[in-house]
Order: sequence, then structure tokens, then C-alpha cells
Amino acid sequence: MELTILGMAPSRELCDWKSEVWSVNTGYRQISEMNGHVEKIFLAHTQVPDPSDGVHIFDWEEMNRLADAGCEIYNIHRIKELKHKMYPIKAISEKFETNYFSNTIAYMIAYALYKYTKKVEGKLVLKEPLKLNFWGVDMLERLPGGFDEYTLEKGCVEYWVGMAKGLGVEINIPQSSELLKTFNRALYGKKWYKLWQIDPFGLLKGKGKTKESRMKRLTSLKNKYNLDAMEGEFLVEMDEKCVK
Amino acid sequence: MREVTILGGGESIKYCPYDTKEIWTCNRVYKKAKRVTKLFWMHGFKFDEDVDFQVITKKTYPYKAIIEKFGDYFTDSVCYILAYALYKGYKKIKLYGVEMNLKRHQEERPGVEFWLGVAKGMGIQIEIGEGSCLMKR
Repeated sequence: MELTILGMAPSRELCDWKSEVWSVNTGYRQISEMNGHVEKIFLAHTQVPDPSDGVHIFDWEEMNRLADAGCEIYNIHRIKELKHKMYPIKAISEKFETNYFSNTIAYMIAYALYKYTKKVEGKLVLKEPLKLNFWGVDMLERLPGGFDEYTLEKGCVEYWVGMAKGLGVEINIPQSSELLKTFNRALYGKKWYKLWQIDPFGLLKGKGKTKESRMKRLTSLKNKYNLDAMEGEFLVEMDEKCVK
Repeated sequence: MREVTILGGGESIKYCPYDTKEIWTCNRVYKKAKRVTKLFWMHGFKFDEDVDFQVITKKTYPYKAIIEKFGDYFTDSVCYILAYALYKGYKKIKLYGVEMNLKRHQEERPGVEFWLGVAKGMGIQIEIGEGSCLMKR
């Protein structure tokens, strides 16, 4: 069995739509723009006003039309106006002996594991081989109140991804997602930045030279790497900061 | 059942019962601990103290085998210790003093929680001592 857990972050564009798609919140609108498909929608909210204009984020009527078309909608809260199923939070918490859920993606992974595992002699095992694709789950979204997904939610999502991995689930995460990556993409303690990673254009090497010679070198770099989009002034500014 | 206790440097290390044969820790936490059987010294600095426990360094840690088996997501030394415990087949892991409550732990905590998830998925019992922010929202 192969499932796609589709978040709303930029890497959603990489989704190949080859497997069953589970979406989150109002992600179905993005899916519609991408001409994709969605089989399940997960919510962990009641109605939410948009911080920018106060308009309600969820359109229950719109979602009911999706439900009528066969899309299953799960919510941990009961919404009278919405045709949805209750998320089996009690059964899932009992099965996995935890109630650690920091966001809707965590609920989705937990539901996938709940659905595709069984207990054999007290041990959880997969009912069948399972692959989970994570598109659009980049964990870099800024949240209201100055918090962000990276700080508050990444660990919990990774806990559930870890559990999936421990159960033998095949995991597919795009490079552009921060999931299962360190902040500098290097093994802790094993290696650190190399000079070319920090300073790919060799600007730091210009220290001590004259402004004219640095300008000359920057122009040659600009031509070499075809950096037409970059302003020469910006490069000079960067260079001067490096020299300082 | 093979059990191991992993000690972090947080204040809650004082709650550790030291009731497992194996007590593993990292960096300078061995100076706080009542008993240690293995030290993970994963930074580049040379460890040249005379101690009565095994010291695992960057050079002796089985990176290749562990990465091949579990992946390469390590955000701090505790991740390396957890991965090592899974690799060695321990069935119960206790964590004390691994609090992850400071701002600098923002980048480290997810990695530790990932490895706890892997352990849980493998059917390993996890015990997290009091005072830890691990697996709490």
C-alpha cells in the first residue's frame, strides 16, 4: 500500500498523484489548482478566523460537497455543519500508548499506522508493506504568536515518522523538506560547514585586496556563473560586509 | 531483558535510579553521574582522561553500519546513543536528564524524538524520567 500525506508547503508541487492522497485543512483548494485528487481530509480544528482579515478559514459547505463526492473527512472535533467522521483519537492513543500530537500531520501518520498495523503477540506489525510519501510537509511555516512549525511541531511529526520507520514503513521525503534533516544538513559532530558552502563565490578570499580588484573579481564571477539576476551593487555590499 | 539508561546533563539526572547494568552518557555528563559504563565522546576533541568505562569516539562509533540500518539523522549526541542502543538490540531504554528544554535544544529535540519513535516502532520500551520536555507538546 502506498499513501501520500500531502501538506500545504511548497514541496507539495512535487506530488506525483500516483497513490491515495490524504490532505490537511484547506489543502484541497491547492489540490484543485494542481489538478490532483484527494481521498481523505484531516482536520484538528473547529472554525478558525484568518488572522489577516477575520474571515473563517473553513467553508463547511464546500467541504460537504467533497464529502458527497466520496472524500472522507476526519476531525478530532465534532462539527455539526460538516459531514465528517470522528478521528479515533482514543483508540489510536491506546494502541500506540501516547497522546503526543502537535499538529494535524502527526494525526495523519498515526492514522495510517493505526489502519495498517496489527498487534501480534503484543507486538505491533504491519498488515502489509506500506510506503508513505510526504509532499508539502516542509515544517517551515511561521505560526501566529511568533512561533513556527520548526520549533513546535517538527519533533512530534518526526516522532511519528520514526515510529513508522521502526515498524518497517518505507518513507519518502523530498530534499526540500526539513523533515529528518539537521539545520545544517550535516551529521551532528561529524562535519561542519566547508568554506565553499559558506562562501561559494570566494568573497571571503577578497579580504585585504582593493575595492577595485574585488569589483573586477566579482564581475568575472558574475560572468562565470551567469548571475544576471543579481545586482552588482548587492555583490559589492556583500563583499564589503565580508571584508569588515 | 537488555536494558540501558541514557543520561543527559539536565538537572533531572538526579531522578535516575541507576537500576540498569548499562549506564551510558555523553560529553562531560560522566562527571555528574554516579555510575557510567559507556561514554559517547562524539565531538572532535581528544579524550585523554583515565577512566574506568568504555569511551566511544567519532573514530570508534559504527557510523556506517548504523546509518545503513537506520538512516543518518543525528541532531545531538543523545541521537547517537539511542541509535547505538537500537543497533545493539536493547529492549528497554530509560532516559534521565535528557530534558531538551532550552532554546538551543530546538534543533536537537526533534532528532531525539525521531529516534524515540524508531525505538517505539521496533517495540522497544521507553521510559522518560521526570522533568523532561521530550514527547510533550
